[in-house]
Amino acid sequence: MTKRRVAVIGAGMTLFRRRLLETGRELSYEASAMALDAAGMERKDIESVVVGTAPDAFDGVHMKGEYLLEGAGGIGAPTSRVYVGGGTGVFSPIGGWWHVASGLFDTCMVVAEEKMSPLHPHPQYAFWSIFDHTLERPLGVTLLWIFALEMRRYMHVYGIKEEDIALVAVKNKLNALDHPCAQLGAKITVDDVMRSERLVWPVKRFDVSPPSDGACAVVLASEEVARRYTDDPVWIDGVGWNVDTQYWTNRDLSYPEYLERAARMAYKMAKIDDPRKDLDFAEVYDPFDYKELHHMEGLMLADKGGAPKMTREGVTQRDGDFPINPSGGLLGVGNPIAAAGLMKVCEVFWQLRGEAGKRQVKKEVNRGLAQAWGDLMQCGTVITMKR
Amino acid sequence: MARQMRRPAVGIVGVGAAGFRPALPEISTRELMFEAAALAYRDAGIDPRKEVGSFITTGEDLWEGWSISDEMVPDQLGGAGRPVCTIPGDGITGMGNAVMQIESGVAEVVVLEAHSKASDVLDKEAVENLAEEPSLMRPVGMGSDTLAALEMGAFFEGSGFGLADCDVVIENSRKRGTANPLASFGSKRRRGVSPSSEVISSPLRRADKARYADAAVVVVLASKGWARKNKREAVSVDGVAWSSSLPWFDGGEVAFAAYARSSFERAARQAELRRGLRSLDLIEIDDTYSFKLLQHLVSLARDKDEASGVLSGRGPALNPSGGSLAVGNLVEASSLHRIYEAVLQLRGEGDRRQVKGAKSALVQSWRGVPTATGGVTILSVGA
Repeated sequence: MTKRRVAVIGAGMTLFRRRLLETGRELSYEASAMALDAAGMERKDIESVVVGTAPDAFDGVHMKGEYLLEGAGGIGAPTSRVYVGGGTGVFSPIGGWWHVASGLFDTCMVVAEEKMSPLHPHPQYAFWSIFDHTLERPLGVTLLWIFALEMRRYMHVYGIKEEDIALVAVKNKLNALDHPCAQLGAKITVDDVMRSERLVWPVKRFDVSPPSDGACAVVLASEEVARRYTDDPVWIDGVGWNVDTQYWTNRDLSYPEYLERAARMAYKMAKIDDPRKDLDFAEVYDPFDYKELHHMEGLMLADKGGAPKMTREGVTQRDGDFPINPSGGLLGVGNPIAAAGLMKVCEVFWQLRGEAGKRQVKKEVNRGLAQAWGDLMQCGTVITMKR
Repeated sequence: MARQMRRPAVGIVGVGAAGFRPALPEISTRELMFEAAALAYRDAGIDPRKEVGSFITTGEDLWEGWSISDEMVPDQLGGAGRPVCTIPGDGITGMGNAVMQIESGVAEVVVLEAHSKASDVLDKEAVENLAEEPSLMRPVGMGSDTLAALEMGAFFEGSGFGLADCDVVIENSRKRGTANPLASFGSKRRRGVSPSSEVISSPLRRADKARYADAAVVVVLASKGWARKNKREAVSVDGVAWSSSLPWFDGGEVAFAAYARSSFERAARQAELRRGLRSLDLIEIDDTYSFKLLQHLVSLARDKDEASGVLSGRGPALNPSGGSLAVGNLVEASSLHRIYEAVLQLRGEGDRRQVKGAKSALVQSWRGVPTATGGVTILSVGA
């Protein structure tokens, strides 16, 4: 279907922290410099740049792509910003993929950055302005409220307990203890999650990922160029994205249809017939612990309502049959929105190359998936990669 | 860099435009988008629910007054439940990404949308000022017009152009706008002359700056294979390139726009344009400020003489639409409007402003203060 193969040949990542002193530009520079080093390349080898970053309201910078491009290496190299809200982190390498797969460019630097800390009194404040100005903002809604509605609906339809969902937070924060860039790695119990502060029923403090600053980058290359720089390229073999209607009140929140459609697009490209068999592990978007389960089902890695059982039985542990979020995910590593999605792509790259250190999954892995979720609970972005 | 030099096998099979007034209080952004999209789909003869592989919009959140404005895009374009995304940038960058999606094989037909609802923004300069680098530059307190004025003065110093040349630009642009029903600011009066216009920040005058307007533009792109198979006439996208250079206040060039020159060189190589601007029948170039038209023209031309020739009518027709000075500053939709104009001209649908025998066109864009980012696309028919 596609004309050229595209490889990931280098990845870089800064620390994820609640408040970093570096500017957004500096974070972009650091991540892209690390990715270049990993690829064995220099700036002059990069023909194009894709920048991923989420709402401008976080930084209070208009045209944030323009602001970041200098740090990302975009002076003199054609730069595009791609944007699908929270799904941007996984969408940015998809944008990079079409730069190279199209044949217009041989290399592309993909940088995703987010700096949520400048917003006062809290980054949540920016999310007020994602709601419809006429129908929703007057209600004073917050993201936590609508995710609580979705979590509640998911629990109701499939009879899922809060304790089942809490297992995801326990797993991911434990995994993150092995990630050198992680913000919130911790050894906690289900009881700790259940006793944490209730924010909006049924959402509790430990169900939620933190606000973070950070940046990630990957270097993409055509097959011809990739072979010159590495014997171990990781191929992007499937991409998919899908955005549902804005009117989230008109959808059944118990199942992410848009994600299934995005996954089917990626699976078709990658010739994946049975994702449970054809994939070895996945980095699934987990800004809330219930979302890992929700997304596993949308990706068809679990039956509808079946993800909690897989989690309970240890299937999704790092040493389980189908590891989910061996990185520690957003719950453990942190959630600088766009950078968090690209962190997942970096993790798939490192896992497939056997370079994940203490996080390396036990079984042999040849194919993995990264996914993110965005806009107003309506967007799925999916990428599959293989050795 | 060799890969960037191939001519894309992509064409424009439909266009639609709506609005084009200084303020449209009776219609929402989403309704405006819907109107332009419906016209474009009718023009292309397509059903967006069945025949479109991907939808792209080019908005920026702070113009929209809406964080993650991507979320409100799918419904009015017929894209709900489909691949949709925002490429925050001008229409040419959006078109470049549409071309790459088609060339990569991920979509055969891509819808590209851009809009401006600037009239909804109470303090437009405040939005523009938020684009300044926040730690070192913004605290200085220079507004976007002050930055533009400094660039204008430096450009005059380095290029030899001056206010009298800007007066000619303003007058000609407004005059051409009188033949364009989409131009809100067309006029045959000599309003651009120096003594009659308020000085915003010396040497920049009110008349030098394009006034904002509301509009939406939708362009339908398709692979040439799809166009042939479905028997659609297509305007060929012979070249498309975009670029960012170092802004002048960070040490970049000011006598010419490096981003425009570099984009033109790459697009021209894709299009195999052998005689530079002389190969073209018309050019639509950015004139957000009157001096930027001169700067952009100098950057596209081989030298100042060629640029002066185009200004005096020897060479391709310059901004037959009237440009932003006559049509209005449509924010990120400005360049998609220029593409719309070029498509109409190449299809012979330019009405009173039709450039006779137009077969090839160039469109050039700039993202505004404080950026040094822009793009170029070269379009043709009958190749």
